[in-house]
Amino acid sequence: MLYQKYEVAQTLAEALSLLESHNGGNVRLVAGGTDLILQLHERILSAEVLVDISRVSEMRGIRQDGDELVIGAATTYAEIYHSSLIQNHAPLLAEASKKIGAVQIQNMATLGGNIGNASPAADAIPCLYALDADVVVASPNAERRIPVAEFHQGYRKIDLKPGELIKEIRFAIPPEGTGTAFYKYALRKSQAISVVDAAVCLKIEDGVIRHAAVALGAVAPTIIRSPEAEAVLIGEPPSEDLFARAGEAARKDARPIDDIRGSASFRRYLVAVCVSHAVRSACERAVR
Amino acid sequence: MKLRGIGVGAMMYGLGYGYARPDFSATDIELAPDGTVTIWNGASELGQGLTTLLCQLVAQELGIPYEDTFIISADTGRTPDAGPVSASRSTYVQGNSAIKACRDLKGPLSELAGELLKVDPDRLIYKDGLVQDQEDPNRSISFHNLAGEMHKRGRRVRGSGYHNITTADVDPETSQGDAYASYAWASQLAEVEVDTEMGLVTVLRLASATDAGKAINPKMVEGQIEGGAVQGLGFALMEEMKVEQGEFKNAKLSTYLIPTAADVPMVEPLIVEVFDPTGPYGAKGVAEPATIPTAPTIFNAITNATGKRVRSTPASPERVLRLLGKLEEEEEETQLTFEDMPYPEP
Repeated sequence: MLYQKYEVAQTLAEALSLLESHNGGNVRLVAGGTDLILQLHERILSAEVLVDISRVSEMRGIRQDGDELVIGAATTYAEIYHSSLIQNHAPLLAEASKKIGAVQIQNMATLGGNIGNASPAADAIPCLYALDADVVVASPNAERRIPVAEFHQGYRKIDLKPGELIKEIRFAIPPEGTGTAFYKYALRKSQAISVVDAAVCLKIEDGVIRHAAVALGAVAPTIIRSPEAEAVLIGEPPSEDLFARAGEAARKDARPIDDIRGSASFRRYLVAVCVSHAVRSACERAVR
Repeated sequence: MKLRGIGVGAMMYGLGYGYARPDFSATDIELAPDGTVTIWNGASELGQGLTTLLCQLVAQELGIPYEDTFIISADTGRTPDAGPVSASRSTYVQGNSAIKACRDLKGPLSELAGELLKVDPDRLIYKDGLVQDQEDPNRSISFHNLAGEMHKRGRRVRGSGYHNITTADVDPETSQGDAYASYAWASQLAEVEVDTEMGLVTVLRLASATDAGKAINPKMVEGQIEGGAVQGLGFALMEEMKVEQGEFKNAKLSTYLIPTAADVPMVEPLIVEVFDPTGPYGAKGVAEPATIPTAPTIFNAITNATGKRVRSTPASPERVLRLLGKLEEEEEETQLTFEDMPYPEP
């Protein structure tokens, strides 16, 4: 058996109380299950109790709250890329969501699950790094709000204590003049895990880049930001030469390893390619 | 930069097992009183269309509608041994055994039809649901009525076919000899685009000409040709078993990548029909012949585009980038030691 008991929570309060009632036991949350069930099958993880949060309405959907966008943790990728709020304000997240697995996966898998799985090759998480998003964690008595980069503490290691769950993701709506882009490099045209990916969020004012956030996937134990690339971009007008220099700079921050999808040197090369493509797209969108 | 190139690949292939290895098939058929025919054959339907093909051959041979044939396939409790489905031998060997089963049944069928029509049984032909005198088409009986008469009179209504193409072995000293019962030929032509920045090779279009002998079912032959090209494309660009210390490191479809629909170009299937007197109605196998030329075709197109030769499959993006000198390490060592054939300038 993959697990002994399957509980379905209807509300956030119920999900938290189910977590609490099984506290001390081997309990895991399940939403889409697209990562979890595979890992249970392969005995990478184990669970006695699964608490299904996919029907918890407080944890689903995308809404605007003042100057922030809020994405419920149990929101699927299909819901994300169909959302006009996301398409208008954070198109990179729509782009990344369309490139995760196949349509069947996009209909099941959730943003909160992707964060909880904490894979360094996750496609949506670099977007959250580039947007400076926060993870909102709920427990029966309190809520915590943590920057996504701090929430990911190491390779598949997250800042989540027993009894807590990832409730939602929040980020400030990017201001006018912002362009965002996601670029994924994989070994075939669809349904493949990223070898390297890059997410970029930048703002252009009077023809000069004033804000730049560059995040890299699959080149370190966690998703990382590239301060080197960001420093190259800020204060400069967009140009092909700048895109190439930003890509080169990003290589200094990458710490890739050899694995089944590619060697470290292959990845180091691709970092520059992915970053310069993503920066170019973001600049084009910013000035439009 | 995106570079385009064109490549050609060709192959010849021995059908079946050859080299004195056992290569046979048996088929049984039975005629029902209503004129329908049931076929028993032990070969497996793998999606290639074999059951359709065997029913077509029986319908053709007996001159009855396809809809009047039924098949019981690959049931070890009931079907005679047809040998494996492999070596592109199914149409060629199992198809022949089905035709022989029909001819076996035609013995008692023609005998009775001859009696009823008062015609020499050797003059009878089976066509359009009729058994008729080929010299006087007005003298005929419907296959349906003949089947009923066979049952009423207790005549033999079962037929068995056995076809064996086991060849002689080659000369043990020289390895010379005719190793296979028949041979097939195929060639392909592809245009590729090599993205020199990304290392990605995209096959833009591919034409595949395969010698089918005779296309019993042209749509199925096209399916085999297209499917073969997709498999060959995977072999050329993606598929690689990564083994470390005897352990298969990418034994999952998430890590052992094969082409998706998005990776596959338009494939233009070209059926070449060179009648093979040893095949069923002249047909040969097309399965492997449609797969084998694809990788060399794509590799030649990559060489035509870049001026450099990938020396081992697959031409993965990493290997292509290394070939183009984009990565830090040198080009990897390969087993090939001989000089390349020079690629002719256009």
